[in-house]
Formats: sequence, structure tokens, C-alpha cells
Amino acid sequence: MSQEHDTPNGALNRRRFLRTMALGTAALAAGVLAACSATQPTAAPEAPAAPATDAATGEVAKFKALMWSNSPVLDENFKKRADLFNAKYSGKYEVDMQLLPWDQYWPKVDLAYASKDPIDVYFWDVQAYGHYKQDLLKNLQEDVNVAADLSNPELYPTNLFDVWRFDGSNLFAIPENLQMMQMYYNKDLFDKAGVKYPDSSWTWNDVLAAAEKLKISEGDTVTQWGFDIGDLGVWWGAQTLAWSQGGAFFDKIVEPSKFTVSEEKSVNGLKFIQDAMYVNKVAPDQATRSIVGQEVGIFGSGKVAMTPGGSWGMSGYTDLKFKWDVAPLPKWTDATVMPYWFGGWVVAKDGKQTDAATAWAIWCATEYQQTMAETRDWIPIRTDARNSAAFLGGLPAGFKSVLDTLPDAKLGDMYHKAGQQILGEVFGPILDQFWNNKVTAEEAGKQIDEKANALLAKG
Amino acid sequence: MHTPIRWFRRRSSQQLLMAIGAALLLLVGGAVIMVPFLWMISTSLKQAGEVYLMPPIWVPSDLQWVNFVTAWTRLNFSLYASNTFLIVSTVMIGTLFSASFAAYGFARLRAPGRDFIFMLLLATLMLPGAVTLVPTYLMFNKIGWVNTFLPLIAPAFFGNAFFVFLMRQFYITIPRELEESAMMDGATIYQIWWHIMLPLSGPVLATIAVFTFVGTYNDFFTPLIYLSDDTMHTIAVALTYFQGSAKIGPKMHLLMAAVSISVIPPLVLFLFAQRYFVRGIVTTGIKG
Amino acid sequence: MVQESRTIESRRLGKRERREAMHAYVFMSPVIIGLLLFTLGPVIVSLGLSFTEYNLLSDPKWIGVENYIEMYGEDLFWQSLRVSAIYSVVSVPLGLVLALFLAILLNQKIRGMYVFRAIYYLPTVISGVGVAMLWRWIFNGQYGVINTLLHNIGVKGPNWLIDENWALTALIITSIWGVGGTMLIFLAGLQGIPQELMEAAEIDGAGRWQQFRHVTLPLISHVTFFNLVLGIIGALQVFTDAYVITNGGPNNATMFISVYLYRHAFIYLNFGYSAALAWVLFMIVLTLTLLVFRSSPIWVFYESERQGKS
Repeated sequence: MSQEHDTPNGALNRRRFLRTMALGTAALAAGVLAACSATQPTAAPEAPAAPATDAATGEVAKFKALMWSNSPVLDENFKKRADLFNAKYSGKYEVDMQLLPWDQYWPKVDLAYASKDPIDVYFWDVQAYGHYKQDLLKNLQEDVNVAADLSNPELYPTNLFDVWRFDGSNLFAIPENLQMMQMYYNKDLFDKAGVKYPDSSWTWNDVLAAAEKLKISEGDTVTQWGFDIGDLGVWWGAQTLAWSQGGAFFDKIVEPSKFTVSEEKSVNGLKFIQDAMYVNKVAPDQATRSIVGQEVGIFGSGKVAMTPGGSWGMSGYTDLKFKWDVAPLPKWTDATVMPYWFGGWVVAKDGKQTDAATAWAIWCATEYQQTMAETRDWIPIRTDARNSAAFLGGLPAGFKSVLDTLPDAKLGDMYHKAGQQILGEVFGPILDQFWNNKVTAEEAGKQIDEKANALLAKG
Repeated sequence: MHTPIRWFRRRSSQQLLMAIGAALLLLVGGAVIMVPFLWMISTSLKQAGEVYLMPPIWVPSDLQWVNFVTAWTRLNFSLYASNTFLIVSTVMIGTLFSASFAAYGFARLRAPGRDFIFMLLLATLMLPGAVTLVPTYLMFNKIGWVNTFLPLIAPAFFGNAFFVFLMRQFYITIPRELEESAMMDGATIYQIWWHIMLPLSGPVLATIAVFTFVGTYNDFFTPLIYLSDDTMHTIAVALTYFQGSAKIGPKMHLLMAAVSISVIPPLVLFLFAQRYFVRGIVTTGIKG
Repeated sequence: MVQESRTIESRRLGKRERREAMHAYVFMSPVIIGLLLFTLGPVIVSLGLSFTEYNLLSDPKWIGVENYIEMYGEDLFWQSLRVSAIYSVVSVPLGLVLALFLAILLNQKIRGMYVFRAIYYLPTVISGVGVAMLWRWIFNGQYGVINTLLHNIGVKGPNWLIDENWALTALIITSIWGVGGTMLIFLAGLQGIPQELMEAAEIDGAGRWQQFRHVTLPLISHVTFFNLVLGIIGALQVFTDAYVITNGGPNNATMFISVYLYRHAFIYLNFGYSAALAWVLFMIVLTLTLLVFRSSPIWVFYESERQGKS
């Protein structure tokens, strides 16, 4: 910044100014053109770098894998997993494993698609169904067929995979782990109250009865709750009650065409949850629940005897000061239908290293399973790994009984292009009012059906 | 409370009362302002089990300084700090230069279209970032700047609307006499800007420096979008990892420890700069 | 065409004016180049996108003004406008008054004042996400810090973040907490007031209030103007707090237009619709700002005017 002395007055003349302007205009035009060519359908896409040149040239196929960040330990283990893979495929494939905060995960994946430079392989969640709908995902069925184990019902719960065959026959994502829902309970509180622990024979009415005995009040304030609605407060949690009666919130998981939250079985389930808080008063109401805000905290506080929650919660409870265990979700009358979810990988069809990326996805679902069982970060998809002593040994005793319900479990997702909007604009606000006891189960169900079906109709 | 009134001899007792009243009010307000910070520090020193207690406790039973160590390692502070300071310092240089330079044109020199350009510039302030984000991203991607620091740094050299506006507003309050006499002495307009306007603008420049530092330092969205390699992340991005995932939830005590650590650099800068930061234009000798 | 008329215009200018204009363009060149490179291009593209159906994943499809029509019929859009309007109307004036009040207090000549300045400025230094997480924590339920304090003075606090009648108030409180930036700008303005003017007013027998009303306020009116404009822009675009603390809920009570926009852009992937939203938001902010600018000759007073036209 020393131009002050040697800038002759008027040295920057009109011509130079105009030249600058012209430069700027050219740059603007270039910028707009650049942006447009990436977005205009007519503009020829950049010659797609010929995919799958990897092994042929003898060069190492480097690719990027993306997952969202969960916790320091889990993140670290993803990096270690990548190291294992790179060691095994040394000289052939090399994965660059990156972890992003959840909030930024999907924007990043979407922007990568927008710039025609997709992430090679990334972790599945419902958002990726939108990518399937846009025909951006690689059909992985061939590769699954080649890795024969993955189709063996003895080794993998292949019947659960069916719902992931979005087109009816092909897998577009390879599952590597699964999650379930379960009833967490605080053994210390049960022991103190002399109440029998929950087990797979319990019905939701047993929960109410036990919760009544487990509740402790001092004057007007409740100091210990028998029950907390936990993840029943999320739509998929609430839906399990409808499932256990043979109902559901919508007609089918993939491409639902009709919402049925106002039907009797759905309403019964919703009403049960609302009543537990506001009629039976065995569970803290929404206002009280917000004291802690995080489900982790409500159960972790040791003031709640039992609460239904996702199996992913277990890793957060490892350092709790009280004894706890888990049981399957209770039955409605004679049955319980548990939700499950898959974790897995999808491969971008137009990625530069689809072969290497596919190898990663397959490897995670096969060879890596035993290591996954040992780290106990995730519930392995491979049945023998999941049932191995290495895996179950470090988990609460009741978890095996939860896993045993898997054959009858249903996928706790909804796959539709407008899915995120239906959850955000319909379920979100209406359930907000419902959990705060401002509308009845019937009204909530009716409103949800009306608005959600309208969004479905819009397409 | 120890805020001795320096020159009470010159002041009436009424003025003395006013000063004491002001100090008292500030003390109360300051306490209110500090509550969230104290709560943050309190939480950062708790063990996981004490975070979710009802009613809450202010003083943890056992101070967990280890939370800071954990947060520090998790933050990967040394790496992210060097990235952060590289970005922040370059952005600061660019911003200070471009804002102070450009604002002079807007404040003092007449030219056809000047006000139009100025309005255009101000209009960019009102543009929701979420929408220019995608086209901008596509553009930077096209020229190969994604996953470099350039998309974060380069725009700073081309005049941030906020700061150009700030500089212009301050230039306008400066009387023209100084410049006119300098002009009479044969100084060029650039010399006037450099030798007269800039020295007078010390406090404004300090203000902009602090604002720029804080803004760039705390921005997590831009780095996250443009930098895909986690060795290139910044402190603010690292912080967002503590929020935890949607399914596992935050580790509040670690998050608060990490936030506490991350506040230190801007805080130190502010404490250093604050004397210049708010020093009046009077003291810079304008009145002369 | 613009270029053409400008040429004609500058031909009409005298030599001195031409030279002055030339220097002006040199000074403004960073801004001009920056506008062309980093703003106008993307802005034009986003305007174009607002007339398309675009999900980021596949190429945009031209649908004319359909996004704007859809917006008009969308209850949630009007709700988001309402939320942003209430927030702005309350938080901007409240913030300005409080900031000015604090700045005046902090402008007292008391030793150790810089400690107070630092304390009041502190909130604006801390990270957006971090502080938002902190607030969520503070507003928690009936035993949160705020309600614990309220309880101590015998008031039963509301359930801030889950009560749709209070969630917006909570966000306004967080905005007031960060008033330090505005305050500091006022403080800089106050310190720019020549001491002898205040003394002269005092000699003329003006009381404290009159001094404030007739000397201080006019002399810092340009600062007020600055803070007002920034306040409006900031309030209408507030995002991080709303996103992290309440994420639009409960029952859309904090569905700021920026949150609504973000959801459509990056969660529902209705990018075209969100571009249309952004343009509507842009027009609203622009109109309001222009109104403030229009009104400024009435109440904004620049020192160089006071010095007499040169």
C-alpha cells in the first residue's frame, strides 16, 4: 500500500477506466455464463470424465466417502475403518473419509450434485431417496449379486432389504448396519419400587400400571416419573402403536399415496401417548419434558423409570451412574411391531470412481462387519456378527430380546419426494400442538391427513 | 465496586450522583449480560451427569477442567487455529484496504452513477445469502476454487458493503477544510486519502477490524460449504461438530467448554483494540 | 445503452468534474469489480432460478411465475412474513433505544469504564452457533436459568421455547442481549460530539434532557440512521438464532422468512421457490431501506453541513 507517492495525478485516465469497466463486464458475463452452463439444460455438460478408468490404468483410484459426524469416538472409528480399507486395497483403491456435522451434510451432498461433481459414496438417510428419484444413484444390485453372501438369507436379514428395492427389484443402497427402537428402563428405580422389570410380554397398559407405582411426588411436584414418552413423541415412534394394532400412518412406506393418521388405530395410539401425559399423568408433559430437552437427558437424569427410544441412544448411556437395561417395545394387546432403520451407503451414478466407491460399500457390509461388531458403534447388518459374543457382550442383557423381534419389524421411514416437506410443514407443527394438549388425537389426525394428502396430491 | 470518580472536584454533587447512578445501572446490566456466560462456564466445568439436573446447580461439585482438555483435543485447535488465522488476517487486510479506499470515492467525489452504485452496493446487504450461495458456489466451482481458501478470502478485497457504508458515514462527518487546504498545498487526492483521511479514521478502522475479525472468525457456513477437506476447517466449523448428530444429541458440557475456548481470541483482540475502537473523532484532532 | 448515456453525460461535464469523476471511479473500483464478480452474476442467476423448478439435483425447469403464485396462496409464507414483521418491529426500536441508553451510560468519564464496555460488547464476540446452543439451554423449561431467576423473585416464567406465545419473545430477548455492536457504534458517535458544544449548551442553561434532545440526538443522527438501516436488514434476515434455538417451531411461531427460505432451499430442495422467496424478501428490505433513506433528510444531520457549505 505505497502507491500514495507515485500515483501521478490523473494517471488513471479515462481510457484505463473504460478498460477496467470492460474487463469487469467481461468477467461478469463469464461468471453468469459459467453459472448458467451449470444450470441450463441446453448447455452441453462438461464431457463427463470417463468413469471407471481406475483399475485399468493401474493408478490408485482415489474417491471420497462422506458420513455425518456422530461423536468423537464414532468419527474416529470411521477414519480407522478407512485406514483398514486402504490397507486392504493398497495400490488399487484409496478412500478419503470425511465427516460433516449433520446440518451441513445434505446441503453439501446436494451442492456437489448441483456442481456436477458428486460425492462418490455417502451414507444413506431418507434424503438420499430424493437422489434415487432423480436417477442419480447407481443400481447396486449387480454388485450385490456378485458378493454372494449379501443375498444369503442365512447370513443377512435379506427379507428386510425388500423395502429398499425402490423399483421393486434392485438395491440402490447397500445396508451395513441397522437400528431399532426399544424400551429403556432404570433398574435401580424398579428395584427400589419393587416392580418387575419390563419384558417382551408387557402391554402398554402394563406400562401405565407400572409407571403409576414408579411415580413419586412430593406435594405438588413430581420428583420421579414412571414413564417418559421419549421417542413416541416423534412421528415414527407414535406410529409403532398404530402398527401394533395392525394400522399405520400411511398406506405404504415407499411412495405413500394416502395418509391415514385419522383412522381409528392411529388415533388410538396417539391418544394413548397424550393421555399418559395429560390424563393418567404418569409421564411428564411436554412442558416438563423441555426442562431437559434432550431425550438423553431425561432418561440420563435418573428421574424417569422407563422410556422408549432408538437403539442409537445406548452409546450415550454408557457412563450413566445407575443400572439400566432394555426390552422390546410393549404390545398393544397381543402383538408388537418394532421399527427398524438401515444405515448404509449409496454410490453416485456419475461419480468419477464408481467401482472403487462400490467396493467400499460392499466391503463395509461384508468384511468389515466383524470389526463393527467389536467396536460396537453400530449394530452390524450381518446376522452372525450381530449375534456374536463380541458384539452382544458389551451391551445390556435385554438387547438380545430386542434383536429377536427383528423378523417382524417394519421400516420406520417414509420415502417420498415431498417427505421432508410433509414432516416439516405438516407433522411438525400439528404434533407441536398435539403434544402440548392443544388438540385432540382425532383433530390432529384429521389435520395431518388433510394437509399431508394435499401435499401428496401436489406431487 | 471500585470505580473512583476522577474529577469530582470539578463537578457538582448532582453530576456526581448521576455518575454513580450510571455506574450502578451499568453494574446491574452487566450482571444480566454476564448470566449466560457464567452459565456457559458453569456448564463447561460439569461432568455429564450434572448437566441435566433439576433444579440446576451453578457450582459443579467437582470442577471438570478435563472438559477443556477434551474439547481442546477434539477441536484440533492448533491446526484449525492456523487455518482460521490465515483466513482471518487476509480477510482483515483486504477489508480494511478496500473499504477505506472505496468509501472515500462515495463520500467525497462526485461522478455520474455514483449514488446508483452506492445503492447497488447497499442493496447487496439486503440480499439473503442463502440464495446467492448456490450460484456463487457453482461459479467458484467452475473456476476451481472450491476446497481452497480463495472463496473465503477474495471477496474481502472488493469492498464489503457494510464496511464501505460505515467508512462513508464516518468520512462524511469529517469537515472538508482539511482536505481543501491540503489540496491547496498541491496534494493529490490519493495522498489526501492516505495522509489525511486514514489517520483520522483510526477508530473506525479499529471498529471494522474487530467486526471483520469477529464475523470471519465466527462464520461457519461459508468454510463448511467451500472447504470439504476437514484439515482445512476453521475453529467455527469445528465447533459445530459439538452439536452432535440429530440422533445422539449434544454433549452440552463439552460444547460449552469448546465455546469457552473459542471465545478467547476475539475477546483478547477486543480488549486490545477497544481503546482505539471507541476513541472519539474529537481526540483525533479534527476540530483543528 | 447505459454506457452511451453516461458518455454523453460526462461530455457535458466540465474538465474539473471529469477529473473528479475519474478519481471517483478509481476509488470505487474495488466495489464496482466486486459487485460485478461476486454479486450481480449470482443475483441474476438467482432471479432466473426464481422462475424455475429447481431441486439442485437436476437441471432447472422454466415454470414462469408459478413460484410466486404458489407463495401467494401459501399460509406458511404469510405466517413467516408475520413472524419476521413482529420480530423486526419490536426488536429494532427496542435495540436502538437500549443501545443508545447504554452508550450514554458508558460515555461517562469514569475510570474502569472499559471493563463495562468489554462486558457489554462480549455477547457479540461469541460464535453464532455456540451462543444459540447456549440460549436453548438457558431458556429451558420452568427450571432454566431465566426461570430459576424469575422464580426467585416470585414470578412463574413461561415455557419459553415450547410455548408458541413466548418463543418469539425469547428470540427477541436473545437479540437484545447482542445489542453491544449497536451500542458501540453509538458510543463512537457520542465521542465524536465536540465537548465545547455540550459545554455551550450547559452555559446556555440547557438541562440534561434538553442537551440530549437538542445537541446529542441531532449530532448522532447519522449514527442512528446507520444503526436503524442495519437493524432493519439484520432483523429481517435473522437466521442462526431462529434456526438453532427453535427451528421455526413451536407450531411455526418462529417461522422467520429466512428459516422458511432455508428449509425450502436445502431441506425440501425447492430451490426455485426459495429463490422466489429470497427475491420477495429482498424487495421488502429494499423498500423499507429506501423509505428510511428518503426520510433521512428530515432527521439526519451531518457535521459537514453544520460547518457550513464549503
